[in-house]
Amino acid sequence: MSLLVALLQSPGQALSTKALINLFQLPDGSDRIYSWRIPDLERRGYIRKSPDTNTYSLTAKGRRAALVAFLAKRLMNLGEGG
Amino acid sequence: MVHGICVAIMVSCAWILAQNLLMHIRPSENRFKVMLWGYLLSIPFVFAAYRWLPPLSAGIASSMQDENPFLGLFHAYLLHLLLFFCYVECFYHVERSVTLRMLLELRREGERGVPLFVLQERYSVKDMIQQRLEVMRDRGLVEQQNGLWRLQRKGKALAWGAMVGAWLFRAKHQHERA
Repeated sequence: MSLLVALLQSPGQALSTKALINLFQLPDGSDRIYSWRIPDLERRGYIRKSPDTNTYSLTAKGRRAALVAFLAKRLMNLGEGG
Repeated sequence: MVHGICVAIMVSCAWILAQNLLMHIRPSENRFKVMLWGYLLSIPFVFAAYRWLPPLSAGIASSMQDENPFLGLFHAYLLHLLLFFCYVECFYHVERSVTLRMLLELRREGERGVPLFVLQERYSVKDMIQQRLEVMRDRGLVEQQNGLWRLQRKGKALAWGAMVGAWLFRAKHQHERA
């Protein structure tokens, strides 16, 4: 939906794939897709960051949510999606 | 009213389950069309179930004595419609949610976890946008001409709807988030 709105708001209502991708990049090199999701999931207790290895893994709450998502995707016969 | 609510829930669960089982046997590209057909075909069953299914408890049966049967049926059809909208919303959330995709990627890694850059590489923003543009092109929402993506009439209507929705609910689109 965001892509449709971005196209509607663009001058001439036309953009290249590269221009559309650039809309989702932030000046610091991160992006608008992951940059707010990771801290948000961490704050809400779904994932945790290991201070030693800098890796992310699921908490018990996150595992439950991921299991529900996995089962829902299986039931609906969906791929990885996203 | 309670009987109508029970009927709407039962009929909705039945057609949603049947439709999902069918998708395992004969998958379809256009899932919205399948959901819409599932909903439309289930409409007569709401009346049949309301008319002929016995109420779930004696309390519900006694409350039905005093109520207008048309009002009970109206509640059944209204909830049946609302459950259809709810299911469509849930379906697209499960299908398209980036957050759920991330949780599933992390689930696959188990306890050892994964660095953020690996997660971003596995499902990059570039792939995400490319994939979505292709899906939208296949559904007649956008078209690509001379390397530029343009909205088709249906896409334009949807984009306007999304803008009005975002304004009403004071929400931000993904490309506007910091």
